[in-house]
Amino acid sequence: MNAVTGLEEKLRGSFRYLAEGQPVGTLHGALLTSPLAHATIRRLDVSAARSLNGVHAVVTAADVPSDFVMGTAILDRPPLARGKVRFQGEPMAAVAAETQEIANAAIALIAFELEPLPIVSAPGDALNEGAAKLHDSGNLCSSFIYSRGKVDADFEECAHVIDHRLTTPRQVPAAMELEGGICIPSPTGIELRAATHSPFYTRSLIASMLGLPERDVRVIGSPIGGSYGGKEEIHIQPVLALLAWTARRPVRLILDRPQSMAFATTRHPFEIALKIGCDRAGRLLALAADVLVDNGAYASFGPEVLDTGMECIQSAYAFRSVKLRGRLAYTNNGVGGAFRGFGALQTLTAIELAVDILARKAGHDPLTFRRINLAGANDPGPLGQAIIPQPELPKVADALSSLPAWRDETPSQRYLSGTGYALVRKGEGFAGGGPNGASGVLALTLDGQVMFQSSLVEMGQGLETTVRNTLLATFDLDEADIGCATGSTDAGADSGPTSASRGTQIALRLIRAGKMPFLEKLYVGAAEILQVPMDALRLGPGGFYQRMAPQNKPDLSLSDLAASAGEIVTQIGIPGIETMQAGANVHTLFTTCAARARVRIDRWTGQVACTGLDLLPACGPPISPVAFQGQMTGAGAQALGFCLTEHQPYEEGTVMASNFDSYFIPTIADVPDVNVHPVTWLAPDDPVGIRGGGEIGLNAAAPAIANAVASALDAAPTHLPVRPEWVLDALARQGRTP
Amino acid sequence: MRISFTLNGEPQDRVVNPFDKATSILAEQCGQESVKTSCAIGRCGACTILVDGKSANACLLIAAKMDGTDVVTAEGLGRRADAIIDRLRENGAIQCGYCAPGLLVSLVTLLERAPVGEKLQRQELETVLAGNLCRCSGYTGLRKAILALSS
Amino acid sequence: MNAQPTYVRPADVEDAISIKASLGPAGIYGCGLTAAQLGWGVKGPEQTIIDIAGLDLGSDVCLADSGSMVLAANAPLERLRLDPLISRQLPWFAEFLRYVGSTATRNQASLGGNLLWGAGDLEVLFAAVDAKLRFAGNGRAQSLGPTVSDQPEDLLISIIVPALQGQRIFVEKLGHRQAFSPSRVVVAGCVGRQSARLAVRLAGHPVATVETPWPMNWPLDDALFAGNAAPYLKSAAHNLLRGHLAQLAQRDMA
Repeated sequence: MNAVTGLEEKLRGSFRYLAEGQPVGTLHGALLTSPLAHATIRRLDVSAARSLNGVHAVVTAADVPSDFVMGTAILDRPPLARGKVRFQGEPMAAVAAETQEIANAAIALIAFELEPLPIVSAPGDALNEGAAKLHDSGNLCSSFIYSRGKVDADFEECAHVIDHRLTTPRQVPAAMELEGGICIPSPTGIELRAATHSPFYTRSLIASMLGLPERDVRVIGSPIGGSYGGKEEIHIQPVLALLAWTARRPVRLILDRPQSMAFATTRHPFEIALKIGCDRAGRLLALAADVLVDNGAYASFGPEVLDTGMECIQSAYAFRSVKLRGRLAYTNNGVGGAFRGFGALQTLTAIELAVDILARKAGHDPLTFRRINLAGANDPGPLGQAIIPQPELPKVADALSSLPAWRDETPSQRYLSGTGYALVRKGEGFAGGGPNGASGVLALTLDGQVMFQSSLVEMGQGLETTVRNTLLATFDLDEADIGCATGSTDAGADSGPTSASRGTQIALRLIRAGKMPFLEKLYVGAAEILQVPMDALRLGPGGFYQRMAPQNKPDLSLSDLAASAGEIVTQIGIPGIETMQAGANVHTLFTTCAARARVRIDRWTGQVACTGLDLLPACGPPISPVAFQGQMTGAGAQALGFCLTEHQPYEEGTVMASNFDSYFIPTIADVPDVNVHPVTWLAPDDPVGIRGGGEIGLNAAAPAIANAVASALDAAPTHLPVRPEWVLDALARQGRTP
Repeated sequence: MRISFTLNGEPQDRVVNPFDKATSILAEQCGQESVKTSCAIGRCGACTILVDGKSANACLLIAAKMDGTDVVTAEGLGRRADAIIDRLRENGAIQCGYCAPGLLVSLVTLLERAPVGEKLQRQELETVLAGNLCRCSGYTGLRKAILALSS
Repeated sequence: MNAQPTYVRPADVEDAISIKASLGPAGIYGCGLTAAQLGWGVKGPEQTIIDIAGLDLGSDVCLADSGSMVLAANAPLERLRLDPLISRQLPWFAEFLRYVGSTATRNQASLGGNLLWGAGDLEVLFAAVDAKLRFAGNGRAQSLGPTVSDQPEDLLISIIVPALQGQRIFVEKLGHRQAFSPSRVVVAGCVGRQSARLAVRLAGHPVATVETPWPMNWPLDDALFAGNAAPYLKSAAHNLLRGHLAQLAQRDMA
């Protein structure tokens, strides 16, 4: 069974990603990016570049409508810097030319003067009075406040109270495929081939920038060579489209790795301060949290990331009272954005560390402590909202307690080992504010295939396999009878973004919703052609069979049906599971996962290795078991990077890791075998019956690894990734240096 | 300068700047889209090819050094890769696939070198594949696929 | 006026030497070029590259009558890692090569290049075993150290690892992750009956080497730990050396 479609083609190199296979005569794009993190653009003179032989387009902010800005909740980002640059690597101008050499030469001919502005290099500084302002509105991009119950009184009542602070890394999605694409103009519009999670959203944005009707913009957004959220944000598409539309020639523009390391949106670093307490029996009473987020230079998904992080900061536990504050501050440190986990990873790691510290202090083992504090099946959601009940929580906790013991490690003077646990939940899909719901199409094509069309995208997660498996389970058909079209605006069915772990859920619900109306059309058509009543017919492999006669060939093949009846199309629309009743920034559907990790710590060097990882996702029965497994093992590796190896540091707004010689993605030698133990039981009346596996493995694996470090060292990490310096210091403080 | 080499068995004759990279010659001039550029400094393995039977990063191979060599890309592995591809499929070892051609080249050299019948040591497997970064899969399926092939 | 830098592939050693003589400083010897080309940028090198990768400098590995091992300067590292004679005679070298670059880079990169580069991990190991570099021309053999240029006038022919008579070798690299990483610390030691030779490099600093009596006089010589290096690197290097030496001392006791 394939986890992904096109596997052999991918391996043998015949698979085409979107920035490959450009038409003959395609121009080469190049970017001028800002060397400074914060500056006023005093002069930007492209005349010499424009007059260079072989140059077909040079574009700057002057070529973009002056009121055109991008973002989701907050629109603040121009596609090319306008008046000011706000981070190192921000595009200021772009060129399309006949060769890459000419394009690069033209970039070098652009004359510019930047007048440096004071650099805002930390979110705390950003919010100080007198800090340089990145935007006229000030440096506080967004904030979050929530409280429930009487926190102060509950802390008074606590038998044990602990504080913990955690700073999380700026993790870079760093997909192997770089951001880029090809744009092909026609006299009236453009075709844009570039990775996106949301082809329709990209289309409307590009159309509005170019002043074109949406129907004249075709967006092909998949397949994607890895994203993890990194290509969810609009990346280079507007610049690419602008170049092609200006040059009236096809253009290919692709970033190089150093450009990508500065330009691509990253996971937001969070500074999290937590205080939690429990009573003598070990019941969690109160939580106070203060969270400060380094948003980088533009809002992007920052406000949503902050909201999701704050919503998840209670993990799956029932606190009697909570008091939460979160602030998102603009800085000149690149741009934060969507990355698998979406704010929840940061806060879940912090709370799970704190829960272990408190459990230890209160004299409970971490598993029992989690078990007794789980939210009840029918409790409201973490922010008091109505949610879909989660009776699976205790089952996940039980499964975590029942994992087989690790194989013993040989005792060593040099190495310490430790085991850590985590149990987390995160909202799936978008909050009440949407975009929720989706459209799709079931069609019998003229060549006789039952085709599901949507704008959901394939990025390696196995969406197409999930669709195919769902079609096979829904209709009694053969592999050859079904098809799947994804990732573009072609079908005219906007399925919304493929993000927030919602792709599988949306595909499944669309096919379910379309099944009966689509079948009815097929049966009506077949009955008419065969001149028999509909209930005498049965749809099976290859076409329609008359019930009475057992046979191995259909009486009416799907292609004959299509030839006679024409294309049969059912437009499908589904509403969101999410309700505004829960609130614009809170979720309705939650996914749970537990994890166990083991680490080995080198007392000589302070280096930490992850030597074992178990994941227990409660996502119902997987539709594509191999793809689901892959989502979990991949999440484990990214969690390992988050905890142990990955960070993009900025010094005074300067990117410090510009390629893979200084930014360290885990190799095969770093990642242990990740064992996946799906907890397939969900409530029988669960309205969806499954949960998406895109993010939840990461959200559980990271806190488990962090807790394993804490357990080995008897000291909980305060910064991630865990620095070996800190490990040696912790050992020295305890007199455990070798 | 003029260079000649064989590419997947076919003789090639090209005029190049000696310091051009094999990545651009193979991908742009010879249509070998399997030779992916990702880091361009030899740290990710997406452009791994075989040069005289040994794996090499095309991004660290200058055109002048291609002269007189026998170059094989993922496109040219043919039947040598069949069994590996089957095991990778069964174990869900590949997701987005951008690292896949380079990985396949490394895998072929690893498995063809491993003495027949001798179980490949996990450490050796990790040594040989540490230069092929995969951001999607977490390597678990990959490791299972290889161990299944070598046992 | 210098001609445009280009690339030449000499026919043999004499040819290489005469090309270098005619170019003077405008030409440099190169081999795998894996590290060198990262410094060139898009413009290419500033000097003509005299590629010695294909020259016959003798077999990759040769066991001399004296018991020393002679390694060809242009031998690719991966070939050395898999060489049966290396595995038998210098197993610590073969094992350590796992942590130097990746397979693909080791297939290109040469032993000589790694030793002359100035940041190569092998320099630490080869300093500890007091390997000698033999250059063409006067046949002189030179120890590794700050006097060795990364762009030597003479062609490096071979590296001689002296015969080891019961010395124990240890070597370890600390990187940023478990494999394929630039090094933060490399330590190595060659411990004989009466003396030990230790070598250390902290990231960004030259290799430091000391001779010390064995059994050790503690504490370790401060000269090993570059003065202005980060305190963490010093501690980690110190712990690594102390740990390895203590293990050897324990074994000696037993």
